[in-house]
Amino acid sequence: MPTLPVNEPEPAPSPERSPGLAILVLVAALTLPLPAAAGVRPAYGGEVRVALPAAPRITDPALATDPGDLLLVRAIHATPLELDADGRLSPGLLEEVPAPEAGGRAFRLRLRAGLRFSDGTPIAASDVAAAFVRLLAREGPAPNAWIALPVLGAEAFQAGRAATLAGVQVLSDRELLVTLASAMPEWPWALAAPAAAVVSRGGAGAGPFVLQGLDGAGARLAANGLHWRGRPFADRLTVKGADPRAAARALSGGDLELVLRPEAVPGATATAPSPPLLATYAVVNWRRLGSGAERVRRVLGALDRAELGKLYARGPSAPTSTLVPQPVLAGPAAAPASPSAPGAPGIPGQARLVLLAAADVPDQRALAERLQVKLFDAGVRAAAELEGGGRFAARLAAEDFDVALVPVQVTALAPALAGGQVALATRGPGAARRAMTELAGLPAAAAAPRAERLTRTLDLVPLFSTGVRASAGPALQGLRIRADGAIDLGDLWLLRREGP
Amino acid sequence: MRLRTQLAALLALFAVVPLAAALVPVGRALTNALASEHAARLDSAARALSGELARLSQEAAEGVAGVARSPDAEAFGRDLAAGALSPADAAGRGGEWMRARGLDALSVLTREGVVVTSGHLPGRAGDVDPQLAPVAARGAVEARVITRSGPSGPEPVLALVARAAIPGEGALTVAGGLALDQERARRLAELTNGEVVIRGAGGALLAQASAPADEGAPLLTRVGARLGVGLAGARRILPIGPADAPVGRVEVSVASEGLARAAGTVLAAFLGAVLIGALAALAAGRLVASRVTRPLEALREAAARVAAGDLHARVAARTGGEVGELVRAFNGMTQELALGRSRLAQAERVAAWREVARRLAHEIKNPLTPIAMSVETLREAQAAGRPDFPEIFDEGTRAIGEEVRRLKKIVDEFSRFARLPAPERTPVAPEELVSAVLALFPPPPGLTIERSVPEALPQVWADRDQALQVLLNLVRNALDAMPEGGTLRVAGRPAGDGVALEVADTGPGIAPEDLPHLFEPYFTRKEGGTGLGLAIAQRIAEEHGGRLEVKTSPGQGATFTFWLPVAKLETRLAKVP
Repeated sequence: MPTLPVNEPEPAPSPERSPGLAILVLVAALTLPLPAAAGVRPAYGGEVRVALPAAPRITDPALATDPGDLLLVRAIHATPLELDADGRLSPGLLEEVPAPEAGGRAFRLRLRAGLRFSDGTPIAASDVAAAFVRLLAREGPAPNAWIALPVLGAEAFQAGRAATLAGVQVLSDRELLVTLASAMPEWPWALAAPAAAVVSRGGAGAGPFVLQGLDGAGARLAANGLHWRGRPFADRLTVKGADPRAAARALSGGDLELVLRPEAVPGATATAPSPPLLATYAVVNWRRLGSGAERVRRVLGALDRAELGKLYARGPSAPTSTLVPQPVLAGPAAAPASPSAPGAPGIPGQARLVLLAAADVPDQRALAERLQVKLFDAGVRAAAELEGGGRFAARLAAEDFDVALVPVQVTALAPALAGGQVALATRGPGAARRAMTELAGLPAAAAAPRAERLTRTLDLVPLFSTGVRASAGPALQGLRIRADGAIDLGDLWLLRREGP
Repeated sequence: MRLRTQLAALLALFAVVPLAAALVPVGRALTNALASEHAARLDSAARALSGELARLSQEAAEGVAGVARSPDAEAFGRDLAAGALSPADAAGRGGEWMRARGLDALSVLTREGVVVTSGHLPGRAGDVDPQLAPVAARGAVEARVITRSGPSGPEPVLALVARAAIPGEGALTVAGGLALDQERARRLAELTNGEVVIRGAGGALLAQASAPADEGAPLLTRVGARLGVGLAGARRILPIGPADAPVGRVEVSVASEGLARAAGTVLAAFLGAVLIGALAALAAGRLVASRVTRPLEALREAAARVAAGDLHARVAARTGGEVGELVRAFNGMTQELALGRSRLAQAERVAAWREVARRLAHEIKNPLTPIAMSVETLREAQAAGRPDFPEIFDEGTRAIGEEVRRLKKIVDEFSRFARLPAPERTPVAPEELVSAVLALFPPPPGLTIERSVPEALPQVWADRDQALQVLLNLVRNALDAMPEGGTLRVAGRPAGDGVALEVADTGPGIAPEDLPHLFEPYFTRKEGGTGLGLAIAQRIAEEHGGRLEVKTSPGQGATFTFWLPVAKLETRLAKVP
């Protein structure tokens, strides 16, 4: 483990255990550090250059859903809670992990003292409250609104029936009380998701880096000396997009320090893969397919998901069986076998449908092509239509598809929250509330069958979830993949070359 | 139809009929020539197509073999066998190789036929490919209908495929080739300059393309296509695959628009020649016919003038032959006719004056007898010294005076007839004329006057006094014809360029034998009449450019019609001071 810089976080007094015990075990295996130079103290300075499959574009925590965008958000912004090395909740901007009150319906959030945004303005409890309000903005609800949906009064506020969010009370400059509509003891896990990051009124963040520039080529960031954990090791951070060959060439040539892609870069030092939390669901549009929807669902449900992930996902993958990705669920009950469907004997030979997929998410094209073939074998011709970010979301919201492949980067490690996040991305706020309500407070063993039932109810066909591999150059140190797949960019540091 | 037109049409017909008759054999010969040319082009296109398909087969085989023998493929097999290449990473290689080699289909298969990577159908990886697995790994090219990814989803396409083994221990093979798809059909269509249709084994249409059509006159093309019926349907069919069980076929047909346009051009030129010939023949015919028929036309016109009374009409056309003699005979005839009429008129005038003299002498002679007798009686009474001589003298001289007055009346009337003044015409309203006349004749008992003269009748061009004289005469005669009473009807109506004024009675009518003499001077059946009234009336009518006519039947009365011309606008305006 790398030595933490100044402002080492205080240990959480009683962190909530994640319901995903399996993920903790997995994380224990994944967070093996890179071979650090033994006995060498971490050094400040230098520039860390990171390559992703595509250059990040979004810095707003409320809107970022793509893995690359989420990485940039984590670099710029800070969240109320963090995950520690063991995959447990630990304090972030908050002094401590909040304990549930009122039977799991209320949480008192108290900020650390002396917090400041990167522009120097103090961080107040009202800024945390504003973060919840932003997620429920009435004009175009944010895709990450799942964090605030359980809060009391969220539905009325979202529908415009209430001017304020009833469940959020600012008690002082450093303290606020969050009351939920119903009991959800695991809700604090949402505060560790990047979407819960606190943003100043001027748009500044409190993360380890400050954005210097963002364009089509990538993002350029500088160290934030006001970060609550202290200044990060690297002076500068660059995040850009690169195809596999270019990334490999740059990494071997010393022009990159880190490549985050599904596949490992040949010849580079790679970590173990991240937890497969980028889950893809096939959403069947009943309104357009009518009676044919059940037949299409049977074809998709009959797919061998393990083989699907193995053959068509370039990174680490795991079959997904329910609304909640497998790594979030614990215990053998959470991994039911793929439902065996007898095929689709009734599908008419001339049937055609539109298969919508996200163009800028890895493996989605290959997955769509596989589904095309399987549907074709069952007598259904599917035209794959791949759309980029905004257009994909717009068509998804307008239900302009017959079957859509929806990738969701799950950032909350509690089944209720993960289920709500997936339901919101695929079926909207109503489905998200329902999923969170049904899964809230359930032990892992009980959550799995409930999640499976919810999946059927929401007409979702889980396919598989994937992770990424981090391939690092020889100089990069401090690399650690968290239980939620994130990387603490502030921990990265570079080995200095010895002088002649 | 006039003779000139008939002659011209006949000449044009003589020019057109032979040309039109030649059109049939010319058209047939042209059609045969076109069909031969088209068949030759079709054969040439089929040969080119066959050659291109053979070349494509060779290209497909070489492409597949090239991939299989490449170091990349060998390394691929080695890495895969060693587990150094994940299946997902391996799945993307097929597309790279396929595009690099210009192939349309390429898959890497295991010994069992399971797809490791596929360029044309990436989603097939992991499955046995039922279409490519049976292809023998001998490098020989086979034709097969394969499934490949398209914009609307997987779609069948006819392809020339080969399969070759990748060296090494991986037991992998490369199967792929070239698709006979829409793009290939377009290229083949360009190569053959025709239309190429690619069909599956069952005849299902897989691709179709045509070479760009030549720019040209569409009308000529349509005309030529109509002439060359049957060219468009001709095609050659090349089976694809084993001869006993072809998996598809390629059909080629050659565009016949060029030939059709050529045929259309020839036909149009021919029809143009026919048209020009017909027009030229028509013009020449009109010229010749005009020369022939001009004297005849002049004769016709002169004859019409003669028929209308113009005996001075002459034909001036100079021509010879029979027509010339006819013209001269016509001119001589009209000259003789004019001379004869002049003589006849002279004779008629002499006869008329003789008749007038005879009747005048008769009229004069009638009073002379009583005068002579009275004179003789007076002389005898004086000589006898008759005591009643004064009474006899008085009676005799009174009789002589009466007869002298009668003579004077006869002379005055004759003088009036002979010296009738020329009419001084002005526009006169017919209704006003009739009103003026009827005002002079209050209806006697037992007689009814019916008057029907619309005020809207146009004004007539007449000497008012003379016109009144005519109407007075007619009305007086009508009243005299009905001493026992009856109906006098006076009516006016438009008639041609004039106005007809009718005076009708219900008297006994006019005897048929009197009708020819009715308007002759001194003809009368009326006691005390001079016989000059109707003669003067008719003369007045004629001198006005009008006419006086009578219709009568015995016992049915008589109707006299006095027709006067209408005063024309310019004439009336000229008369306005």
